[in-house]
Amino acid sequence: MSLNCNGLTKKYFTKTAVDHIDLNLEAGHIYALLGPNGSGKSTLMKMIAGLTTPTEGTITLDGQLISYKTKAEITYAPTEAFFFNYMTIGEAAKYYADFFQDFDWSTFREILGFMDLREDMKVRSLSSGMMAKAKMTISMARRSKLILLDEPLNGIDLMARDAILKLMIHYAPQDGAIVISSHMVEELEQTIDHAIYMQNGHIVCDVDVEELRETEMKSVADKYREIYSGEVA
Amino acid sequence: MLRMMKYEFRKSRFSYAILLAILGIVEVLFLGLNKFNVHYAIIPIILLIVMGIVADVWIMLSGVRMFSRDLKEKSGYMVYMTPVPIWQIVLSKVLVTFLVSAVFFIAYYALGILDMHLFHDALEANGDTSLMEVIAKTINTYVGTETLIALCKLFGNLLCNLFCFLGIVYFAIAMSNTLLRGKKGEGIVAFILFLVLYGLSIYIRFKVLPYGGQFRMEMTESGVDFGLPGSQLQVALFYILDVVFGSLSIFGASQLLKKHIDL
Repeated sequence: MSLNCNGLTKKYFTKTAVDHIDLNLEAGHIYALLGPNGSGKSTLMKMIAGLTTPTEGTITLDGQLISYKTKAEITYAPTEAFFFNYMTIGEAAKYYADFFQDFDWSTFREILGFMDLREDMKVRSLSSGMMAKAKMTISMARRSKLILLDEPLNGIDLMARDAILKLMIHYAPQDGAIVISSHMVEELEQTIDHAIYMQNGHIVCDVDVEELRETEMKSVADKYREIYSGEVA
Repeated sequence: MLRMMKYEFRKSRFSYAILLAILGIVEVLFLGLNKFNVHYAIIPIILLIVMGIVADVWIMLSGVRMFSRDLKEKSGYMVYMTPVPIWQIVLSKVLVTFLVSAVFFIAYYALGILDMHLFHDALEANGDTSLMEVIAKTINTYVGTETLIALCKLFGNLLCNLFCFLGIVYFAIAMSNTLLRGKKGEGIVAFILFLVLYGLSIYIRFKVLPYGGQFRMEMTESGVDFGLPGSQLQVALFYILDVVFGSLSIFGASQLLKKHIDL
């Protein structure tokens, strides 16, 4: 799996959300997309997911331009709950299985048990923590080349966050990649191996986490503070 | 696209179930009155005819509301994240609304005709000849061969019109969503855009047909005669234009949505 963004730009009427980004993502990694609100993380993810077309530049997945076809190989989970209200978790899984050939029922049921959820639970009766787990369960049950998780840890308790992070490590696709955007930098530290820092629509830093620790003696959080506050740790 | 249509149908199944339940209640009311107090049985028959029209309007509004919601609420991701071309997504929404409206219209109409027959038989058993003759003439009017042909023409005209109407509504909603991106006033802007686009489509259609494109519907001895002035070719063009406007609108909506889904 190889995702390449070249000169990627997204402009709205009065604003440039993403400004000439070049980015390469390779299989076998878990990437963190970091930055303050409004830095362009969600817009970048939506362009990669094919929900928004870039104003300039190209995105290719294994050499194929992003289109409705690449949605079959990319999983995108937005921040908020997005299942249809009338569904149960099982029905949401069935919907995914109907549209995505890479959806794996055995993986789904395994993760569901790990997350302490049931297929007959109605989506509208789930708490925020349970909903976050349900989203992750269904997203990770797809064996996609690229999994994009937009702020998956927001608004949920510590135990649920731990469960989700463990899930990501355990079920990460071997021949694919995961990209997580989050403000919870310290919690992601043990999960990710690559950190991409964004600001005002640009990528300001793109580092291997192990290298950061060894060469600069900094954690991902230290680097975050350095970039966004101007302080040296 | 069939899978998309299946899930579109399921989203509104509760509304459809309510409409079916109402149909059932009115029918039970008719059967009861027809047996025990035949002179009042005409009331549920009239209710059925009115409900048929109300049901169709409700289904159309429900479909439009669902499309608008999918562009505003996060559940829209379930639809727009699927590996289905956007034009198929939009077309599936139009077709489900269109087909369900057609099915309900036929169901209410067919049940109304059946009940007319039962009503006629009940009047005959009651010896109420004067009212019986009126009902017999009404049945002949509404199920005679000429009437059925006229109704098929009318139905075809309505279907083409409905397809055009829905396509333009969805295009207006997509345009409004693209321009305003969730800001206030999206609904009003969509409505204004719809009026302009639909008005334009009517203007063009009336240019194709002479005499302002007015159709006629006359009650005759043998039934109902329905037709549009102008030659067969002009009438066919009238229908084709409806389908073309509807298709162009669906294409336009899908092109706008392809650029940007922001929920």
